[in-house]
Amino acid sequence: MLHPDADPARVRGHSRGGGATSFSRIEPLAGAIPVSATAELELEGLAIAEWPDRVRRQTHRESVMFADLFGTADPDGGVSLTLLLSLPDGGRWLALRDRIEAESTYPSLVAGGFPAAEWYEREMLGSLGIHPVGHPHPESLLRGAALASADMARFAPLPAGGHVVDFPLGPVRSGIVESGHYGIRTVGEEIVDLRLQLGFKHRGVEQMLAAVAWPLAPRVAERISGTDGVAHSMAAAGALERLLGVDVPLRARQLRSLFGELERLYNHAGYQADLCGATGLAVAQAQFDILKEQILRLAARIAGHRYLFGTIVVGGVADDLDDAALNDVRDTVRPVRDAFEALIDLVATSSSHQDRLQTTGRLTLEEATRYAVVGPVARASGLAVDARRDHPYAAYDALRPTLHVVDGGDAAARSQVRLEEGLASADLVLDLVEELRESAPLPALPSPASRTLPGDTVGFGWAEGARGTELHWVETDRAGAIGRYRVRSASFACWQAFARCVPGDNILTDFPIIEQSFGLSFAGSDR
Amino acid sequence: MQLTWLWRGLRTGVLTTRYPRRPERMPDGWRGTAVLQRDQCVVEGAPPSCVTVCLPRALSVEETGGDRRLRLDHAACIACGLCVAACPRGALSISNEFELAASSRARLISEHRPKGDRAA
Repeated sequence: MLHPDADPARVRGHSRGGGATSFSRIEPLAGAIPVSATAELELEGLAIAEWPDRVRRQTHRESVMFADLFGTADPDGGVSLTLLLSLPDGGRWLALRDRIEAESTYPSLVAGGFPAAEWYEREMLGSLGIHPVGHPHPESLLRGAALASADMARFAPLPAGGHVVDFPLGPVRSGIVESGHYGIRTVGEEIVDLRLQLGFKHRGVEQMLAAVAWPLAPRVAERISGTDGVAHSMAAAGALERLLGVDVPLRARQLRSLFGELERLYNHAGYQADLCGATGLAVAQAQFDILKEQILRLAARIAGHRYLFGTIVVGGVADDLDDAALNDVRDTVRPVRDAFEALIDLVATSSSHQDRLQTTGRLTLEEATRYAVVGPVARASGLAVDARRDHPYAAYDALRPTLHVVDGGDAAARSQVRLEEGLASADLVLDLVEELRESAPLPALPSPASRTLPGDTVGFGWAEGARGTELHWVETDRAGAIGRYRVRSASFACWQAFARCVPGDNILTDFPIIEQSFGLSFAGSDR
Repeated sequence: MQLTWLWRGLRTGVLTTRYPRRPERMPDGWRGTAVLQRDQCVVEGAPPSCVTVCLPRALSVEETGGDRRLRLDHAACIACGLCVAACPRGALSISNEFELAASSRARLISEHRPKGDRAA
């Protein structure tokens, strides 16, 4: 079902060269918005219809990854569309930009070779009212308006007296699971379709980030999703630092990596605990939870907050770590690392656990690429992406973390990747402790907090959290106030693929295991 | 394999604590409840710098007649500590207390008038 305006014959526009139908564009920006740190981000104004060709012309186009698609409502009534792509071969990002009229239409990028754009276009349909022409399911993604079924056409009302059963699950659930709603459709044991409704945790964080005084942005960003707090605040700080042209001292970058890896480590331990809980391996669940708790208590001692909130500020870090704190990190993380390593072997040989994981919730490499998933979900499907390697930030240019990539694509593969990454994060923390002992103390630099942001400029920051790459995009208006703050969370990038990989070969009792093996956050996705 | 897990669990022993029967103390420097020093606050500035930086609007100024009172709502406070750095007089601090349960919302509000006005 297309929106009435989606009929190309009814689209308001004008013909350009060759009689091709144009959509209701205003004019390409032609790179009007200057970008800070142009070495990392290239911004081009280009008509939307030409975006697929532009990417096809890109050198090594097979490694170009869809990263984000979002709209910005301009004060003059138009909407600026931005397609963000990762160019891993050169460690750069490419942003293509065009302007269309508000409440108008544009050619869907799903049809133009970016299948991952499907949910992003549906999100814009709900929030900005712009209609993607040629989209397979042009319905809003927002809560209450539409559902994110794997195949919406199939999710028709049930026939009376049939053998099909719908299981509603959520949004209120037992334990401490976040609010999200699933409609699981089964025939016998088999799951034949999944309906996923997001948005229950929507708090308008992007609007909040645009409204607060910019030095406070990392404090708001870390609350997008508590267990990704360091990654989000690092991405927010990175975006503002590039906007201001601020260099972060080496020691602050090392401390950022240290906090980032501690966050990844407790997340990976907590992930394994929850996965073991899903398969009924109760002792393993307790063992991993103990490790997670030890890291959280370490964070409370060294940073004053169990989830490391408040550690990242624009320009560096809030506080340095002295030798006593570094010793505490080393003395806590080393036994956690050894215990984690011992548990890896035990988990790998627990047949009752592995039986439930293998071949469950398989996401093929083709699907992972198609939906541009990120983080451990991507790496478990053979897609070698990691912002720490592809776009080094903080101290990762020197650290060069090893990528753990496996081919299986099932729950077992996702578990394996996060086991290996947990161990790798512990090793990185121990390496960073030694490097921090050698590095020069934090220089007393003037805080950039009193500065005003440059007008009509874009700043872009990113960080690899435990769930994948978090992206923060900041645009200022003419007066230097934040006009648009965009957050693309790793969870949002992965939920779309999750909805696709559940129906098919899985049975109802596999569902909690698949859900847990993805380990995504609703709050991060809903913002 | 189940025996291996059983053995590991038994060897780990009991790690849960006796809280709340045995009180627990958070480490020094941990950001818990904000504390407003009654005799230090002068509610300086309009709005005061602590109110400006307070993201969840836990700090506010109430004005009745010529009387200005700083109000701290512990139910809204996220213990970020930004107000501590913003206060030029050191009237705000962060303690490592974390037990905030109260029987009514009114009990979660600290209200302080500037020095000298308290007789009213």
